[in-house]
Amino acid sequence: MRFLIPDEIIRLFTLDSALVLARILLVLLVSVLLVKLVAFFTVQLFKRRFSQQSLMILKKVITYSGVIIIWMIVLAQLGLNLAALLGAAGIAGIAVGFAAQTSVSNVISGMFLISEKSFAVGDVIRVGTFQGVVLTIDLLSVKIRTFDNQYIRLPNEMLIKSEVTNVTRFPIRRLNVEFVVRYGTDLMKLKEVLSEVARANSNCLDEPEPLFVITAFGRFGIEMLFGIWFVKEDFLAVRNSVMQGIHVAFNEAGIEFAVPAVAQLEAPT
Amino acid sequence: MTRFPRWELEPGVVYHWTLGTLSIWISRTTADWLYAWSYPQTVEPATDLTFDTEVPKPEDLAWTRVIAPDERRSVSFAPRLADRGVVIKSDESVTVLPRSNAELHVPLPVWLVVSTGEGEQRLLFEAPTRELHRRWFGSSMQGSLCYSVFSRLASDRRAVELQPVSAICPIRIRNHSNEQFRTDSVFVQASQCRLYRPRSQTSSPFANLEASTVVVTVAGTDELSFSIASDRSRLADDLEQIADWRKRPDDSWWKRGYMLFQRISNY
Repeated sequence: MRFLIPDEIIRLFTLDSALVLARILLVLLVSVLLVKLVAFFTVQLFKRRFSQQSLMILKKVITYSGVIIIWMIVLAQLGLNLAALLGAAGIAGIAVGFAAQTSVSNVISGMFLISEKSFAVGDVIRVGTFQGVVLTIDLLSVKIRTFDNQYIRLPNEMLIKSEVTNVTRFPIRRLNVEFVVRYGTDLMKLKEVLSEVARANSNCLDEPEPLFVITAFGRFGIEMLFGIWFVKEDFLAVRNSVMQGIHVAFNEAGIEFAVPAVAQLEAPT
Repeated sequence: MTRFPRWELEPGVVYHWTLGTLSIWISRTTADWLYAWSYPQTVEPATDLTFDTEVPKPEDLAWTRVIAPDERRSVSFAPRLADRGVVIKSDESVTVLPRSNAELHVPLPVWLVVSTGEGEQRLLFEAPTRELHRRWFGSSMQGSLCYSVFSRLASDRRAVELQPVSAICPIRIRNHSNEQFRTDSVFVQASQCRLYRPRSQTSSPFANLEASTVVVTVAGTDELSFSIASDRSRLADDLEQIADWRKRPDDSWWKRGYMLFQRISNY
């Protein structure tokens, strides 16, 4: 069986075209290697000063810029008119820009998010009803993993418009336990019992000291706030052990929580 | 030459020791080591390492299993200082007059280091000799996690309130400012301190422990710098070093030069 190749194509394979092809291949090989080296050494240079997120973006910027420059060199080698091509690309860019307004908005929002540094990869954030660990901060969206292991993509535009809480920004946090005790409760004794709960719990910090606040005289009893400081990594352990500790200590000390109760009084007959 | 206690353990037997309020249980099979530790409220604090097989391991205390590839039969015990900073807080504050120096003495908690092997020793585990509470040192936005110790800031070393096992740490306060310096607590970066013992002491390896001297320089209000003094002064006190620092003190000439530059230039 014989393949029939048109004469026009055969005529393209001259010595000159072979040289151009070799040159392009050489340019591609050297420039790709160069871009990779520049990206690697730049990341190494700023490794200590920049966050993981910033390094990732820096690497992407270098790589994408490099790829664009390489394509322009290759096209120039092929003898294409770059001015005409760039003009066409500009018109196409305006058309694409109109069609992709949301994406452009997300990209700009992404730049603001990155420069604002409200959160970083690994932080726990709360946005509306979503809460989870930040996996990546990209130009279009932020990806988080919720605590029940769901993957959520949040568009950057949404993050810019809404309230974002960075739960793990600071190294220590305060656990606020709110409860209501009966009006007859000895408040000094209550304070002692709560202080002992904090002291006995190895996850609670001695300093800053636990907070003990009477917030209001409510309908059913005295409303209290008990705040304990802990290292952010210990959140679950502290929450469970403190709640359990309060319950046990109150039972032992005879302190009762105030709960709405209905008393049925019988009228004298 | 410092000698620390060493025991040859028979396979399948559970051994128990007490030091401070720490209770440890160790057992070994031919290839594995098992250990557990706790702070039982019922046991009297011990000032020296006390061997007692009569104390059974609590049922709810789980063993930690370590696989030892080679046949190691013995365990040895040694003291060491805390793995992070310690804040010693007192009920009463002390005041250092302007342009004057003071020396305080505080107790630092000591760790028990348990290693296996005869020649080349391998760490099995380490634990504080008493239950320690943690606290934050610094602002709530930045700072470091420390251990919290309540004790008097004694100017006489004989007045230091020594918990069952502690190391005395001398604190030299140099008040270079024109104001009084008043404090009720002292921060010691214990992980950067060395541990010493009197050279003449041959028995009671966990008694009379001393730590490196900490120098606190007060340049003005809220302008404090901490450094660890070289061990020359401690060795001159006829002490021998028995444990090195966990983390090398960051007192390089480069850093000192930079700090001096900061002070001079007010930058």
